Amino acid sequence: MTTRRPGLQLPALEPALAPRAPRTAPDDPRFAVAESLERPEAVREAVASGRVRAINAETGAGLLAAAPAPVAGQRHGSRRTAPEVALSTKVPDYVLRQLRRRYAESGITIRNQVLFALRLAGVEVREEDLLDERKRQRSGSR
Amino acid sequence: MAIVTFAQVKGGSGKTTLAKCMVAEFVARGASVAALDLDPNRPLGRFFARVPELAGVEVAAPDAQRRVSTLVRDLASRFDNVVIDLMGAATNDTQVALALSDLVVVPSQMGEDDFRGGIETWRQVEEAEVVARRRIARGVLMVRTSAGAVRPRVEGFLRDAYTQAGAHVLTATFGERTVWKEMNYAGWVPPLHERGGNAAENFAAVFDELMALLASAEGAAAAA
Repeated sequence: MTTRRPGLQLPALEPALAPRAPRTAPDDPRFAVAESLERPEAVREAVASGRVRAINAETGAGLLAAAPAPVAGQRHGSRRTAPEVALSTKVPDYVLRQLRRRYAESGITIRNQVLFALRLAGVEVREEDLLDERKRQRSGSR
Repeated sequence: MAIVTFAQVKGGSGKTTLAKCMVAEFVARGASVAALDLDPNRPLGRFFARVPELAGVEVAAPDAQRRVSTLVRDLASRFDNVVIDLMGAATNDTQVALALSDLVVVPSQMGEDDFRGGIETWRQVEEAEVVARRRIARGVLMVRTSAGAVRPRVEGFLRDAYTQAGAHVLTATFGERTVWKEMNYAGWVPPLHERGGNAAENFAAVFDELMALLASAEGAAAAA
């Protein structure tokens, strides 16, 4: 008869992590969101806001090709009634987040959201100047 | 499944080294994994090609026809895990990759530029979460930390600074070790070739904490 105690053994345990979710379906909403962020106007908005400071030439080549030609004053074929000038200002970050979110959801650029709001506040903004020239140019080029 | 992105708008923070280790760890654990390399220098594909165990890992890269969203959609439908390595700058790919991710890792060394870049990247993940309308698990990973038992004062200082800014800092750190540099020349990858060694154990601790973070986020999303 031996007095030696048996070695200690751990009991069998269930896997620590819960079973993982299945693979991401091709129609998962995240892909539509990502595609909206790849649109040229979305990238231009991101550049204008400072969120994007470098363009990857491999993924941005199409953006560069689609960029409107920089000409002084009114662009050729534009229906706008006045030349566009740059306006830079600072707003609370939660305001900008809301504007970007609305853009992602509706496709209405931040420029146009601001112009619509200004018009509602009584500032003169002519209908022709609310046109989204980028969309018009893109659809016209197809 | 998990789409894991290593993001930091400051370059040289360790994104690519971590992405290599992440893929190697998935392979070592027998998981299905592919990678998306958004660094035009293509460090991932070159590295995997010289390590026999990783040579079969599919590494996608964008071109004029294939956008980031298209590539990830394809990879995610064929592999359980997709690891995305971004360029070290605030590029047009950053927001896209973040919006696609289940988990974002923000590596940060202890310099001020890394801290500033880390906070900016963290804010971008927060915005991506709002736009995507779903939880994106995320954590700041302190990298190139001292392998010694004593943590330098600056590490504790930065942990506090990140926390005060609202960022979650992982408990595990990615220590400074020569082997992480040598693995590019030797084809010797601790998570694959030296399991149980100090370096492999170090990354395994990072990996386990990331997977727990991911599981926690998935659990919270399911309960909501």
